[in-house]
Amino acid sequence: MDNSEIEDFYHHDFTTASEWEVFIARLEEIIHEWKIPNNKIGPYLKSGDFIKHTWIEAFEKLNFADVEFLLKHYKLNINDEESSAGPTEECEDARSQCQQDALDPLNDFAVLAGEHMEIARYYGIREFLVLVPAKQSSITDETRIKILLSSLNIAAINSNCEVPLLVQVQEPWQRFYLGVSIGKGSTANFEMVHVKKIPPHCKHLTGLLSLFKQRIGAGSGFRPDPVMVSIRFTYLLKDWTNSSWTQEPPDFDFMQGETLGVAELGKLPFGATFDPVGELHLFTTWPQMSENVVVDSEGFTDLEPQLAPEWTVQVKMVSSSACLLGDYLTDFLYLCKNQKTLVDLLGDAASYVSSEDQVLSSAFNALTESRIPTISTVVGKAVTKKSKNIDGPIAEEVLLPILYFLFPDAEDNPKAPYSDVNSYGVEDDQWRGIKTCAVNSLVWRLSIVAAHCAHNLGGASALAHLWHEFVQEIRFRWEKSIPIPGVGSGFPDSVRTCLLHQKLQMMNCCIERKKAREECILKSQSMDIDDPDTESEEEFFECTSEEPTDEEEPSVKTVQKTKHSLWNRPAGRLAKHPSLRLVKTGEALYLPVTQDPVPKTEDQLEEDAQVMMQLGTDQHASEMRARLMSASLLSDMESFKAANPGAVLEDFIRWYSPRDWIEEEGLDEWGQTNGHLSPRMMIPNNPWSRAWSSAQPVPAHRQKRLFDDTREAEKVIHYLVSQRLGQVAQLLLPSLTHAALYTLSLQEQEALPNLPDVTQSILNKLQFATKPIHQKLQLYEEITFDIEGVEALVAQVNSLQHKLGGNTDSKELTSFLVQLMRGKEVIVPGGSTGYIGTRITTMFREAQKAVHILTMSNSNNEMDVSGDNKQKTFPEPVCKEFILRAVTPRPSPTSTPQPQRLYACLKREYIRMAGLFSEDTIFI
Amino acid sequence: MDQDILTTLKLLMIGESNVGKSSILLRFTEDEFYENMQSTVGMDYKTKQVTIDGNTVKLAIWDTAGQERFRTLTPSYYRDGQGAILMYDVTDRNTFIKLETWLNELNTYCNKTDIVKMVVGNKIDLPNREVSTEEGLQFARRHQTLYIESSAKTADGVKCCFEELVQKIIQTPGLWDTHSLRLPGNGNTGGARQRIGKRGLQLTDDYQPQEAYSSCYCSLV
Ligand SMILES: Nc1nc2c(ncn2[C@@H]2O[C@H](COP(=O)(O)OP(=O)(O)OP(=O)(O)O)[C@@H](O)[C@H]2O)c(=O)[nH]1
Ligand SMILES: [Mg+2]
Repeated sequence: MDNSEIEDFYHHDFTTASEWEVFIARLEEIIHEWKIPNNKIGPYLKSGDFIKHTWIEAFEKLNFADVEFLLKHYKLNINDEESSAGPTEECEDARSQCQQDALDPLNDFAVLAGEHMEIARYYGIREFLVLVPAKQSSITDETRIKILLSSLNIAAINSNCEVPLLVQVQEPWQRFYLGVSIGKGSTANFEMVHVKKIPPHCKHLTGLLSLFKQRIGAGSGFRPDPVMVSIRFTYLLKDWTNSSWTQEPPDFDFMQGETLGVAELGKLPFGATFDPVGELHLFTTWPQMSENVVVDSEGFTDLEPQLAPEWTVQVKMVSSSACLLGDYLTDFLYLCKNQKTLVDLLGDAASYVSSEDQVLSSAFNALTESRIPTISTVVGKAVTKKSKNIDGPIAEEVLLPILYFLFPDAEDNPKAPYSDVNSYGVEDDQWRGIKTCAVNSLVWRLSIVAAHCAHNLGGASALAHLWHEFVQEIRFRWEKSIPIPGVGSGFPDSVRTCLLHQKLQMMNCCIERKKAREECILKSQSMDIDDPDTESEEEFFECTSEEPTDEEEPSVKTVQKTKHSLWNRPAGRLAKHPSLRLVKTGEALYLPVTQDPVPKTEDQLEEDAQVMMQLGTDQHASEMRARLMSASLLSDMESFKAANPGAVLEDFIRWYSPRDWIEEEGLDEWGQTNGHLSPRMMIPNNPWSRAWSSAQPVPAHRQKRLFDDTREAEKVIHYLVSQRLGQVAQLLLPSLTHAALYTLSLQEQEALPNLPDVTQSILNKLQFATKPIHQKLQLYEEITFDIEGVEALVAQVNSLQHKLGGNTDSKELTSFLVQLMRGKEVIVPGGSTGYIGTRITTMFREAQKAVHILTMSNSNNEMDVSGDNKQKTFPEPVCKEFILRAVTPRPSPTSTPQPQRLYACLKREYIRMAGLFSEDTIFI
Repeated sequence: MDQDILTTLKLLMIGESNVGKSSILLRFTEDEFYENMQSTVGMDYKTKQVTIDGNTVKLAIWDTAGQERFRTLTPSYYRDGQGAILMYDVTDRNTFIKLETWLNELNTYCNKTDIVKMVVGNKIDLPNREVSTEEGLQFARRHQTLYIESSAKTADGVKCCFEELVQKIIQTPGLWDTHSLRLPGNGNTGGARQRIGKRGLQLTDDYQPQEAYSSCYCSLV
């Protein structure tokens, strides 16, 4: 790189004089660019304008020698410029905008957020330019300050700019400004004092008044009009004593065994663990009045907060409120990333033991079981040897109520039986579209209980423990053929429910079929006894169904058939067709009993679809697909053949695909309309005719089962048991999040009228998040974040309501709370004597009492016994503000009267005074 | 071939047997027509890439069998479908009447809002028409679906049918653009993405949680 050019740049020579000139010229240039000089006087401000309207900001960079500055422009954006009729004409008296504003009390004490906005408060002005050293540097040197001030002066004169030009000096944190405004016939100087030690005479209004008068009258002997004063005292409340609002997390340690109720288990906690409202600021204001109606001196003061005509409050919230529900969700989300297996967490006892050995015997056990099943753990304990009980962190007296809560049918008198869990997904359901489970169904309860475990009962290993017990129970129910409660009936609903729910539905399907099978066996056995001659087809059921696949070859089957049943004997008839007869034989056509459709869970469906897709799209792939899909067609054909000996493809097609049967003129020999197969069914060797020719007459129950419930059940159990902890948590996450949103939706808060809308918008996100089988944690993180945010808001309003409204619930209070929640300074309706005012006073009194008791006990109490026991209701104000205004002739008594203003702010640690003092520049 | 694919869309073809679903699909993918098309067993699957408004999308089309008995089997494959073609034969009123059943079937296996539907009246080349265009249109209006008439034999309306459906899907926020979308920095997606508008974009991966929160917060207080 070539440095010469850059070096050249630095070699320019600036003399001090030209630096200054350049600086001033640049100031003028910017002022000109911003078109500031030609501004007219605006309309009088209305009360609250400073806060209601936005402030326009602009800035430019400029340098003074090598020091960088920013010139910033701030202007209140009042849009109703048209209504400006009034002052523009009348105020020909050369009073500038800032002077007019400085005398206007309607926006006193306005608190404005934003950098440099305190200037508006200090001087009461609606527009200003401020020069700020860039990079937060400070300007403390007297000479420098003078140079800057005179630069501003010159620039203002040269550019004919009336808008106040200020400069920030001293340390940035001091917010110290000086400046000037050059009007047509007068100049206003902006001055400031900011000192740590408050001079004793400045502590009260009396002292400030004489200071002000001294400054503006300068002992001229002229008797001015009375000074006008506005006063505001600020009181701070942080100690809530009795009015504190917090929620305790559910405490499982205290709830021993039986007392651990359904109410606690089934609910997610909601609210803040410590009061979300941090501070309450009470502003007591005395709007502008004459100096002689109020006394505030060392010995006496009229300025009692209760007497202030105006009360306003503002609240500050705790920045990060810890909320229970949010914590629950966050903890749970964290677990979703846990890679540990159940064995890692619980030890070898939790490892998967195939229960095949029990399957065979269980069929008969189920029948001897008592009507009320018991919980597997209890049984496990009693039955001993193959007890798979593990040492988890959840104590048994807590675990049992949890399990009974999940499986209420295991108890004689269920405390929390499931209501109808099938109503889920009804069109008008509030929660439609969220793919989880029915409210308060098994998966719902499980996810809530899981969250309790994760949060209160031992984190990851507690969740593992719960899951282990849960799966044990599912396995137990499979073995004993006891349906799982709280799961919607029917096939896995892959459209409306989450994967875990589908798995449990699948389990129930298996249990149901297993039960049906077992009942069948039982029936056939009893039938054998009753009527030994009946050659029941069911007799061979078990052996056929347990047959390994390879034995399913037609040849084998044929052998069996010839052995056990006559070739032509019809079997597996469901019903006689009302009209159709077989084409060849003229026998009535019978609808066959067919195999039940196969239930599948979403992951299986996806797998199936993958298989189909991966075959490709060419002709061969299509044939492969047809072959894969023809299993059920073949099964139906076999059932049909079994039910209708002597049937041909035509017969089958008329039942199965009537639109491929083309009717003709005339009747056949059995009196039914003639017809023939559609051309496409007559294509040689088409999949239909091929399947037909390979189909054997086998009734449905003897066919190879399309759905093997034993295998499917084992698959589900294996699936459940082999999940890593994070996967377990992810299975539960959709319903837990749903339950959390449900909890949120139960919150009613009039001061948050949009709560239902916000809940709805989170719901929309949740609908989207729950759709895919594999959960995207990021989406859930966002939803959790949203729920947390809303929870905090609700907690804040609840706390405010508790503090300020007690049990009352009025429109007035509601709108008051709404405003407070927006972070605004809000007028207390009725001031100190109104309902809210009284509540606030009480809170201050309580806090004072608490402080008093504390100091009493600390210092020896004898001290105070003698002293005035009328302990004050309010503490010392944290801030006292005064605004003094007058119009006096300056610099000499013969000058035109000029606006003068002093703002004083007294805090424990400093006093600040900001003055705007005007002088006539013509009649000196 | 490797043009950048905006997304893969899953389409379903349903309707009574023999109305011409497989024939329309064959016409669309291969531009062929058989007088004697084999009746589909269960279902079949085909793919095709189309470019619409500068966006190339891959269509994964699932063609199902119309026989009533297959209804226990095929809806499993409805999962995740973004578009459905509901077909009837204009020369057979019965297939038109049955459309209602097919629509119900679809609604039980797909969330209503997640799928764009198109009703297609096929075989308009044949003379013996039984269902008028007005009736077809009325049905479509009543069920808020798209409507078109076609002939697999003459290829009338076939391309249109798929293109309109795809266009509608792309324009419907939230329907696509989910997990299937994995784009490298790729210029020609702009068209579709812009049209999707705010809600559509919200659902993408680059969607900012910060914004979500603030919008939520603002509207509440
Ligand atoms: N004239 C005419 N014939 C058609 C048209 N479309 C399809 N076909 C014929 O109608 C018959 C059935 O067509 P397919 O495409 O197999 O019908 P499908 O709806 O797929 O039937 P399934 O697979 O059984 O559900 C075939 O013989 C086609 O040749 C068309 O537009 N015009
Ligand atoms: Mg077909």
